[in-house]
Amino acid sequence: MAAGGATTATPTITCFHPKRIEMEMLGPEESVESFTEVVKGYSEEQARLEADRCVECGICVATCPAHMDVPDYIRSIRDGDYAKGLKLMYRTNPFPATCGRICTRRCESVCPVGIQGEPVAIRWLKRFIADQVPADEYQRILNDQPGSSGRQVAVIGAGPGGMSAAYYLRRKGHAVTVFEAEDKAGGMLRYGVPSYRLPDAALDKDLDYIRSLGVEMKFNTRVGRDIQMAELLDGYDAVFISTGLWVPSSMRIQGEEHPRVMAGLRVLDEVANGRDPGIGKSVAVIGGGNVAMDAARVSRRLGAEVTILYRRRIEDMPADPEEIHEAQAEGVRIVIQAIPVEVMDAEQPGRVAIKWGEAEMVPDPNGGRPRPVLQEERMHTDSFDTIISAIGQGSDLDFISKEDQEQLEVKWGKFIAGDYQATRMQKLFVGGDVANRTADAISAIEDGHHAARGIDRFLSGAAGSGAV
Amino acid sequence: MNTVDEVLDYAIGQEEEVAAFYASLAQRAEKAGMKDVLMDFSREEQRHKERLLAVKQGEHELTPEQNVVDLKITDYLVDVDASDDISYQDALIVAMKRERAAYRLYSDMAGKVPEGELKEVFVGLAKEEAKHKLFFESQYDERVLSDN
Ligand SMILES: Cc1cc2nc3c(=O)[nH]c(=O)nc-3n(C[C@H](O)[C@H](O)[C@H](O)COP(=O)(O)OP(=O)(O)OC[C@H]3O[C@@H](n4cnc5c(N)ncnc54)[C@H](O)[C@@H]3O)c2cc1C
Ligand code: SF4
Ligand code: SF4
Repeated sequence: MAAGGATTATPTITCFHPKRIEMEMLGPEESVESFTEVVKGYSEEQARLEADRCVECGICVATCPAHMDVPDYIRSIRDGDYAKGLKLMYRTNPFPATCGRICTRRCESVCPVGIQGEPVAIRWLKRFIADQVPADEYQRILNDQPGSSGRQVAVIGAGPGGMSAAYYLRRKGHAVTVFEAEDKAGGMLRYGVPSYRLPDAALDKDLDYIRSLGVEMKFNTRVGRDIQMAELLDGYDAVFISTGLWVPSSMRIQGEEHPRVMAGLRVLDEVANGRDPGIGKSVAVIGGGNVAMDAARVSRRLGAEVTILYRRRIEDMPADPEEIHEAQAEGVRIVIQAIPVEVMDAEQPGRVAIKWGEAEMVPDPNGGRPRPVLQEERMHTDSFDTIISAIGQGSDLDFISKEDQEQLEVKWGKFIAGDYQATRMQKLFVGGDVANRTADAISAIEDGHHAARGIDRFLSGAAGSGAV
Repeated sequence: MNTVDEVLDYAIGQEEEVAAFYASLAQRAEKAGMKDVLMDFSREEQRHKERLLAVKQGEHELTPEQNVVDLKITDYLVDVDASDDISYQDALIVAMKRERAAYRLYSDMAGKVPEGELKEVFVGLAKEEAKHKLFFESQYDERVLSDN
């Protein structure tokens, strides 16, 4: 206390614990040894204590793209009524085991408990409920009993967008056939997100329940190759496209076709399919998004030394800060403000060299985020066994005929969707990464739900032709 | 090109030619959405042409600002074909390369003529092209290098 005793500190009164119940995780030394899930999940007692921190303000509901009923499902944990929690979650999201692990959790960024401490672990609590209820009890608890409307809907793509649409369409009684190019469902959640973040068992728990409602799956069927779009438009009452972003962007720099340069998506796909991508012992990853971070962490698990080269600053990376932190803890080295300019043979046979230059950040004259400018006098050349390029990915819309393209609105490789995810084309709806800006799982899930509502309105005549 | 008007006429002709090039590529473009993108590019070049016409008529000055940022993205990209199935990424590369070539041309000319009105016009045109290049490079930075 100051001399004279004149200062009085205002006591801070909080009705909740400012610190989050700590989540048990594998340590970095252990985590790089295998593809075992890093986050262990809450025990019952931990979940209840964490649930106690929620003040039920409901602010998070508006921020979650699916508007999940967070305060109520958190209350179900306090009440120990997980069946109720599960039912609440399925109203807006049929991927709780998945989102409970990898959701971008925009909800947590607005949770007011975070103002004086850490936000409520909304995502981990979702996972807790999904993990508590055994898969064979889902049917009894959720009690979904789809009727039969006599209408048939085709869904293109079995990612979260397509499968979410399939779930809500089945609940409305419409027959659903999903056309999927790969041999399994899950989209990027299976072939992109690695199992140390999202184990197959968790993803399959969500997918199996959706499929149990009688969704017909046509695997190894690429629309545009194995079946044409026109056949779907003719043979079904409505079509929903959620084909995602599967084409890796090319760096378009000299030497990029070098055999030791691989696309990040390809590396992740190989690993997801249980194959060894053969990356060697030292790897450079180019990029700062989800794919770059996962490719780097996967490479660590395959035993490689990993350096990420990123054009901008850490704070500009599109990847989740938590993932960046975990990657660094696992020994991934990040070189910021590094711009690759050329790929070439390394001196040692079988290796590859990359020439890159340092960048200075300059303000964008048009008020956008600062932009990196190459400093040509500060160039470096480093050698690696493999260079993994992960600078972004785009869509492949070649399955849409030229005539149909004329009718659809596509900008920068993405569909522009109208109300209820409808397009200008009769009975055609679109959603997921190929139609939204955010390109995350929960947005795709919400797009699928929204489209299902739109398709249902269209099929029941409430929304005219369905065209926007 | 010995007079200011001759130089401006040449520059206007160039903008016109590039606008027509994008418009014709747009007609042939096969990928979804590329027709609109290329027509946007064409309209952008039309705007450049109109700006230069206004300069010629004394209604406008060439780029008054001092230095235009050079992001140097174009300098290290490989050449790509302006084929019918051109992608958004490649369309931007074609556009950036064209702006860079024009910038180079006017800068070189500015270096070759003595101080005076003609030199100022070349310097002004070079800056215009640098600005156009920055416009396309910023789009490339934002949309193609989204994760980089
Ligand atoms: C490495 C990586 C990490 C990620 N991490 C996260 C994360 O932590 N959190 C998060 O929220 N999001 C993450 N994402 C993004 C998330 O995976 C996507 O936003 C989500 O999967 C999009 O769902 P979707 O249904 O739109 O498309 P996708 O999941 O891409 O599914 C599209 C499906 O359509 C199929 N398909 C494509 N074309 C055709 C065709 N012509 N015919 C038939 N089938 C076709 C594909 O095979 C695929 O199965 C990550 C993505 C990647 C690549
Ligand atoms: S789905 Fe994601 S954004 Fe929505 S409440 Fe759950 S964690 Fe939050
Ligand atoms: S914002 Fe936080 S405190 Fe408010 S309801 Fe959601 S989880 Fe609870």
